[in-house]
Parts: sequence; structure tokens; C-alpha cells
Amino acid sequence: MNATNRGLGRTALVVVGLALLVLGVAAVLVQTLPWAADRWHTLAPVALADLGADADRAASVTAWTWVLGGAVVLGVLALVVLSSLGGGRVGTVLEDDGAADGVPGVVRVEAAAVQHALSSAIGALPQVASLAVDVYRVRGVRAVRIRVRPRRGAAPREITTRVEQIVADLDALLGERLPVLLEIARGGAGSARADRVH
Amino acid sequence: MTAAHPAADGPAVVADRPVARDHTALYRRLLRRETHASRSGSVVVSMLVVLVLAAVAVFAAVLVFTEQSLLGIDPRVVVDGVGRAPDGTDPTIVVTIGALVAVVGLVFLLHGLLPRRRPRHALSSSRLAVVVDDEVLASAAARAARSATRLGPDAAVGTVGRRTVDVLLRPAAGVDVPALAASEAVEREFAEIDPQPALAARVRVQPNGRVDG
Repeated sequence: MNATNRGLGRTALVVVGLALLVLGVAAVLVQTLPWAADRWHTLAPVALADLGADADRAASVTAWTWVLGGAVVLGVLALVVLSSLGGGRVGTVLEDDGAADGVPGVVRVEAAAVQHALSSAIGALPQVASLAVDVYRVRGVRAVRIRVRPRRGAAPREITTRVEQIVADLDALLGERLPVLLEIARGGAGSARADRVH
Repeated sequence: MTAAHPAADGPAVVADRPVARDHTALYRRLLRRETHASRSGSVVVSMLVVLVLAAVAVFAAVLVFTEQSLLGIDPRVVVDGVGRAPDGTDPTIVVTIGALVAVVGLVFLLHGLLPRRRPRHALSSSRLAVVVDDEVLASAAARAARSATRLGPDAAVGTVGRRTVDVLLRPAAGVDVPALAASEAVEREFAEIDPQPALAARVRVQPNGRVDG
């Protein structure tokens, strides 16, 4: 539940994949099929003439400047895509300046407060071996992610119901219904030991 | 249960204020993201490939501008050689490298296009967005099946697919197993869990008994 832009990533993957596929297949075809080599020999002199050793200095510099510019743009685009991965974790859960005619000032609830409250409440459940609470920004909304690693054989519905109750208490405490994602994950410390209370 | 409610003593303080905000659309998006795999690994690799290619092109352009050549290789001569292909190029090397590049491209393309699920299910909830790893569901199924029998903790193995849950009971040799009761127990458990997509339960008893049990 991070801020990765998956659409952008997949688009980049498709474009790069398509380009490499076409390049590789074209190289193999030109090398092995005579008609592909003929096509290449009519195409290449036009496309690559200014980049070659026989071109005069001015044309050569112009052509290679285009190559340079294209490469820089491509590199920047790649960095943009890379920087879109991950992130989105925030330190504040709630920020509210109250009613317009109320007391001046802002109430801010830090993520740590919610983390501590949820951790101590959920960690006390016998089915839970370990847990982590994080706050993320998703589409401009702050959302809480609770990742629970249950003990072996724990009933997921029971965990969900208990966490629902705890989150309802949190709602009452905060005065706002934050979006909450509960992730019941496998493995983790203590999960090999079965829950002894059924 | 009592320890789980630190705030239970004071919900009335602000109970009139909880902002009734509808998170349906956000939850739908969260659940979709959590049940489908991220491609960030292949995205990183592909972008590194692009960065390396871009760096090579920049380097070549700089060599041309400064009229230098690296290790006796002039980028302009390389371009000429590419233009004359397949004359003067080694077929084995070109075909090998070309095929390699094409396969890498195909892998990237398929990673970008094909849907890839994570082994997870969503759970219905009025307040939360809930996802459960299939391993947790399998372990719950095994526990439910075992609870209807008198088998030891390692005698039941659960497997969860996208729409099925299989439990294999492995009783010790000579032990009779109430398979029907176990099957009902698993069905009851999953009716309660209510995973989405729904899971059809099936309980089998291994016909050849274990000796170690």
C-alpha cells in the first residue's frame, strides 16, 4: 500500500519491452534473412548517413547532438519512473483546525499515537503473534495499514472482528473514520506456535 | 478481550462526531493493489537498462564531439558497421545477442501486460479493507478440519487455490477419521470467514495411514 504509480511503471515496462523485442528480432532477421538485409541496406544509408564516419563535420555534429539530446531525455524519463516507486508513508494521521468560529489553533494527531494505540490493543489479542502499524497517504487520503501475523491456525474472521471493534474505538477516539487496511499475513515470529485458546 | 479495549471506557465523548465518510472507492483500490503483484522489480531492472543505454549514447556523442576514440573504437565507424550489416558481422554473435535482447524485451512486455495475482483473498468487512494471505486461510482450514477429528496438530494439511480450499487428513494407520464432520467443520469455518472470491472446501483422507503418527 505504498504510493507507487503502478500504471506508469507498467507503461514503462511495455514500452521498453516492445523496443527491446523489436530491436532483437530485427537484428536476428537482418543477419539471417536476405530480404531483411536488403530492406536494411535501403533504409540504413538514409537513417544513419550523418552519424557515420563519411559525413562532414557540421552534419555529424548536428546528428550526434540529436543522439545526445535523446539520450538525456530518455535518462531523465527513466529517473522519473524510478522515483515514482515506493514512498507515501506519512507522519501525521489527522490535522484539524476545528469549527470556523471556534478557538484558533490546529489539532494534529501524529502517526505514532495511532500506532501505539492500535499496537497495544491488537497486540493483546491471543491470536496475534506480531504486528506492524503504518500510516500511508493514498490518493490524498491518509490511511492506516495494520499488518498482523497470526499464530498458526488462527481464525481470520475472529481476528477481523476483534480488529473491527478496536478500530471502532479508535474512530470514537479520533472523531473520524480513517480508512484502515487490515493485512493478515503469513509467517513471522511466534506464528509457528499454535494458538492454545480455541 | 478486556485488554483489547483501551478506549472502551470513553467512546461516548465524541461519539456524535465520527465523520461518516464513505471509503468504498478507496477500499476497492486498496484491495485491488493488495491482491495483485507489484512489478517494481522488473520496472527497476528495465529502467536501469534504459539508463545504461542512455549513458552509452551520451558517451559516444561526447567522443564524436571531441574527435576522440576509446580503445581505438570510433562511434562513427561502429555506426557504419551497423549500417553495412550483415556484411562483416559474425552471425553467431549477432544472432545470440539479438535473441537475448528479444527475450529480455518479451519478458518485460509480458510483465507489463499480464495480470499477476498475489496468493491472497479479500475478506468482507463493514469497516475495514481486509486481505488475508492464502497460507493463513490454509492453516485455518487445517485447524478447522482437525478440530472435528481427534488428530494431532501435524495430521492435517491445507492448500488454498483461488477458488478452492483442500484439506488432506493424514491419520495414523488404523485410526478412523470422521471425514464428513471434518468437511462440515471446514465449510462452516469458511462460511464464517467469507473470503472473496469464495472458496469451495474439500476434505480428503489419505488412504494409506502414517506409521509415525
